[in-house]
Amino acid sequence: MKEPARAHFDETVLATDQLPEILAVIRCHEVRRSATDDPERFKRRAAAEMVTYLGPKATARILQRVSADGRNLLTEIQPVLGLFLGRRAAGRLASRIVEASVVRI
Amino acid sequence: MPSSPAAGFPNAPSNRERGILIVTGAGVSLGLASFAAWRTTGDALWLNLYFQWPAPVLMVGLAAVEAWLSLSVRRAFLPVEPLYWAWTLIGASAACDLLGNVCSQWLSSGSPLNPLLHSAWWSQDQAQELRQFGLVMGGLLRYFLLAAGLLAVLRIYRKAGFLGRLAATDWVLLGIVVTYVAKETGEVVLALYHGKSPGISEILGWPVDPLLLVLLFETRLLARSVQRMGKGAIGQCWKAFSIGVLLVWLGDLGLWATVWRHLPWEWAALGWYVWLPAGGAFAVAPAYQLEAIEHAMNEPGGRSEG
Repeated sequence: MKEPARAHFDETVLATDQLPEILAVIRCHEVRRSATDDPERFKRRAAAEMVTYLGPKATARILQRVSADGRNLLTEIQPVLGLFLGRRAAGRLASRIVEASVVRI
Repeated sequence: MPSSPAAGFPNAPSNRERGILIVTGAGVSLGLASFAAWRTTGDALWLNLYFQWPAPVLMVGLAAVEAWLSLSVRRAFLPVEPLYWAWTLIGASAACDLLGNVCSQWLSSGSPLNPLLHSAWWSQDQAQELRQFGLVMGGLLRYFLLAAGLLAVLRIYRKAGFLGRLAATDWVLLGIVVTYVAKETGEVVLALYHGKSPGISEILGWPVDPLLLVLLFETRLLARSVQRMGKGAIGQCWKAFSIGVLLVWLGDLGLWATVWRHLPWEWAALGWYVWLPAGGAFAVAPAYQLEAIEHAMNEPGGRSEG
C-alpha cells in the first residue's frame, strides 16, 4: 500500500503528464463544433502540424481514418505520435494539433 | 546538451546535429588530406599524424556523443513505452561502442595521447589484449545490442501500420552481403577442418559479420518504412542509422578486398576513412530523435509549456 505523501506525488506527476491530453479532449469538442461548417478544413489544419513529424504519406493515411466531424481526431493521432515520440511529447503535440485544427469563425 | 528548436525544423539541422556533422566532415577532410599527402610525398608520417592524433580523439568523441544522446533519448520515454526499451538497447550498444573505441583506438594505440604508454606495466602484449577486448565490446556486443534495439523499433513501425517492404535494390545489396558472409563462413570451416585452433577473441569475432548482415536487413527495412511515411522528423533518426550501417559494411568489404588483394592496398586504404563518417551517422541518429521530441514538447517558437 502506498504512503499518502507518495500517492499524492504520483497523482500530481500523472496529472501533470496528462494535462495536455485533457486539454486536447476539451479542444476536440471545439473541433467537432467547427467541423460542421467545413469538414475538410480542420483536417487540412491538422495535417499542416502533423506532417512535420510523421511525413506526408503517414499524415494522409491517419487523417483518412478521422471522421468528418473530427470526433476521433485525438484518438487517431495520439497513439501513433505516442509510439514514436513518447506519451509526454505526443500529449503536448496532439494538444497543439487539435488547437491548430479548430476553425475559428 | 541544450538545443533550441531550429527555425527550419525538420529540414534544417539543429545546432546539435550541425555540430556533429561539421566535426565529422572536418575529420574526414583531414583524413583525406593526410591520405593525399602520403600518396603525393610517399612519406607515411602524414598517415601516422592523422591516425595518432585526430582519429582516436574523433572516434572516441563521436562514440561518447552517441552514448550520451542515446541515453538522453531513453529518458524522454516512460518505462512502459516500447521505444524506452528500444533506446535502452541502443544506448547500451552505444556505451559498448564507446568502451570499445576507448580500448581499441586510444588506450591500446601508440598515440602520444595514450596515457598508458608511459606507465611501467604497459607492454605490446597488454596493448594487444586491451585491443582485443575493445574489439569484442565494439563489435560483437555493440552490434548484438543494436540489432535487438532496431528489432524493437521495427515492431513499433509494424504496430503503427507503417512497416515498409524491401525493394529490389535492397535484395541485391543483401544478396551481395549474404554471399560474402557465406564465403567467410566457408573459409572458417575449412580452416578448422585443416586443424586451425582459434583463440577466444577470434571466436568472439565470428558472429560480427552475421550480426552486421542482420543489421543491414533491419536498417533497409527501416529505411523503406520511413520512405512509406514520407519525409518527417521521426524518420530522420532511423535513416541516419541506415547510413551508418551501410558505411560499416563499406569499410568491412574494403578490409576484405584488401586482405584478399582484390584492390591494391594503397587505394583500399581509403576504406580506413569510412569508420569516421559511420561514427558520425551513429552519433547524429539519436540527435535527430531528441530534436523531434524536444520540438514536440515545446510551443512553436521554443516556449515550453512547463
